[in-house]
Amino acid sequence: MTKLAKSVGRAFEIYLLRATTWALSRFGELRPIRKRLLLTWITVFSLSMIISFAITLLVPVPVR
Amino acid sequence: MTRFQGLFTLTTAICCVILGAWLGSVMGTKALSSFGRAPKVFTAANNAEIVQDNLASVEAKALSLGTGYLIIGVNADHSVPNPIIDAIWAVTFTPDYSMVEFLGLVPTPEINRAFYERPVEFTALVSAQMPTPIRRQFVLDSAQFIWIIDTLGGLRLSGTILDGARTLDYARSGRDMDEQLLHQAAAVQALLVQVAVLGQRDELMKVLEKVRAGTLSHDEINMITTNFSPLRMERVRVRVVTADTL
Repeated sequence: MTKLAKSVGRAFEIYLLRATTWALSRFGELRPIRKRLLLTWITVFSLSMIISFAITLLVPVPVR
Repeated sequence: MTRFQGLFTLTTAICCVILGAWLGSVMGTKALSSFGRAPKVFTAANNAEIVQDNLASVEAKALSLGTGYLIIGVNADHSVPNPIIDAIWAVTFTPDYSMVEFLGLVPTPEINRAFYERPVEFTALVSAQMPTPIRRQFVLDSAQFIWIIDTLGGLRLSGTILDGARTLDYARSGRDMDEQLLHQAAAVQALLVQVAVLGQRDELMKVLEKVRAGTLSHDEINMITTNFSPLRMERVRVRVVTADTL
């Protein structure tokens, strides 16, 4: 059981390291879309905040 | 757009959505709390703003000692500009919300005068009798009291079931203020028993829904309903402070 857990942990670690290395090596690809990326972040953040705020205010509290 | 660009955009956008939702929820809760600070449904006091300012200063202290609410029953049947105070009841929750205490005070002429003329003094007079500072105060008139009792199906007092109007008569009856206070305590006890008997039935939910709509903040109503619904009588204490001890 311990051996299995160690194997799974090791596999996970390798997978994570590979994914991180892959992401870092490709980071330069983001340069052409940085403006669009920034706009996407701002839009989704604002929309999400407004909707959440409205729901909190308008949806009544369930009384148990 | 390459696969990496799409994946990065999607992942970071999800993080932004979560962050935005959390911030919106926090801001909404804060906004609700500040809206709820001014009592709307059960308030008829013309001095509410002054009292609320005074109450706000003790709010932080109240949180560490427990939570105290003041319910003032006014006799609005009279056609005078300032209705007479019939009852003053302080409801105090322990900090961990394990117990709730209902404390009845005698509405002496001095307290009555202070309520309309010197609200800050009124708060000080009442606070002196309470174990915790007052967080909010609510004014309940005769019609609202009758509505609550009738909605709950009446109260069993002295072996008979009394409707709202008869319960009000009973609570007002008595040779002196102390006897009236004892009648009020019996009515409060009967009201709590009725609430415990009803459990989570529609009649009680109707009353709670009406009280919820504007009087208490989101967090306050959640704390009360989570800890006291259904109500268990061993977690409730009713006591009175008579005129002699004031």
